[in-house]
Amino acid sequence: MRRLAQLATVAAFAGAVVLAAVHFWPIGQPVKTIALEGDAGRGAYLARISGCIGCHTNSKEGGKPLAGGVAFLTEFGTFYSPNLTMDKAEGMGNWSIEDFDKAVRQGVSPEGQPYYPAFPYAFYANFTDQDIADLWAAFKTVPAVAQPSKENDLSLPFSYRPGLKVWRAAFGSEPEARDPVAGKSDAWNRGRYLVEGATHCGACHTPRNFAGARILARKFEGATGLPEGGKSPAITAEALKAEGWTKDDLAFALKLGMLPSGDVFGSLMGEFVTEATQHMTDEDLAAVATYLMKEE
Amino acid sequence: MKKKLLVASAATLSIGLALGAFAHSGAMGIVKERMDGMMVMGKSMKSIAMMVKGVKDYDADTIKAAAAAIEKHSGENMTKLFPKGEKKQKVSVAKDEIWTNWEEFEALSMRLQILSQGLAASADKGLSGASDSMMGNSSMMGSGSMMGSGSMMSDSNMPTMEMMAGMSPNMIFPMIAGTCSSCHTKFRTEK
Repeated sequence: MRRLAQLATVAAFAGAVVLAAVHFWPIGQPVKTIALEGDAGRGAYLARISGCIGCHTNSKEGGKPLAGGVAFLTEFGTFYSPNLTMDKAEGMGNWSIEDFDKAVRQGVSPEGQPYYPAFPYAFYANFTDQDIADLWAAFKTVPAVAQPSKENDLSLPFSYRPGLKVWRAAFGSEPEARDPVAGKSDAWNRGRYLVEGATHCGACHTPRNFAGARILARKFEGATGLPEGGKSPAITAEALKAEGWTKDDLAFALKLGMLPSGDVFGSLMGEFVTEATQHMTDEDLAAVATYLMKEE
Repeated sequence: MKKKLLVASAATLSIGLALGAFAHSGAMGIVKERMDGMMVMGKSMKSIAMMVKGVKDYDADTIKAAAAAIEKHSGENMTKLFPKGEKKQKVSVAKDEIWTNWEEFEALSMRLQILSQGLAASADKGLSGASDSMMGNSSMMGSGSMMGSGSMMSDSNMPTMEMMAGMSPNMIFPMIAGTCSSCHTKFRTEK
């Protein structure tokens, strides 16, 4: 009996040590200072096609631009996009460009806490230093809105944010599209940069495992369990070609929300076309289509 | 001329109906009726898209026939097929939001009808600047700003018939596609 009590004490102690270790485990890499001049116009374009504005603007309920509050119902609970305006108390008004860089490319808050992967920072890790400078210049033009960010409504163990550090160690991935591939066309490389980065197609079109991490071996094969119980089709070049899609069809669909059959996107893809891809230049649409269709 | 249009619409309609019946087998009554209407509009949109994309040669009569088919199945003709308190059918993909947000649903249906009339009126102009860009528009549509919704569907930019009189079909077509997509995004479940 006494031995059992001893064991229990040891187990409890070990558990506490692990918890404390996870709690205080520092994450993220140091950020280098970006001395580049940012172009707010280019940054706004990037923010639009990356979904920043779409996901952080509660347009359904008439919310102010980038003030957050959009609900994402998932199997882990409900996520609410936070306030990204320049409000000093509720938004990013007190952030430095280094804070912004670390948040966007590493998924780590200024307080050193990990963001949930509902925020597609793993894709944004492909942004260049110039992209970060441009985005920050654009965000700085966003008028402050003193609207508090809503707490996520998640179930245990997902509600324990430091637990994400373990998740990051287990499932974190390196950015894969930062440098162009030699021997490929400019359009293909631009498409790769957009698809694997800014427009983060894989966030919805790559299936996820039990812990919500993307199964990279099955990239673009389509997924279930998207917000609101949605699902996405496969967008591998093979799948798209088998369905009769051409490069032009794809660019057309991302611009107008319309499928080759005459039907239109609804649901999440309809929203993403409205909020993001319809704003892409024809060159970028062609680039995305080139890369997805595995053309030159 | 009018006869040709009628024949074309009838042809579009019957093909659409045949396909509709095939695709939505199982739907009954009013649900089947509106699904068939949607199929007709989808086929019409496809026929216009083929020309806007440059896959097919431009033909004003085809545009007019497609526009007439869309006009016939939009506006009140569409909304009356979504009666309040209808008996649920399993095959239906209509979201409850149609009835809880009726005003917006109705506005989109009306918008579609007006745009289809504008499209018909523009048909004889032919495509403009189609060679520069497949969509006839390479602008970033105000995306150089962090402000403003991504949606182009607000009432403030609803074009009137007078405004559309100066537009070509490939300028009006994206607005129609956007209206379809906007409505389906809000009011159709994806199966």
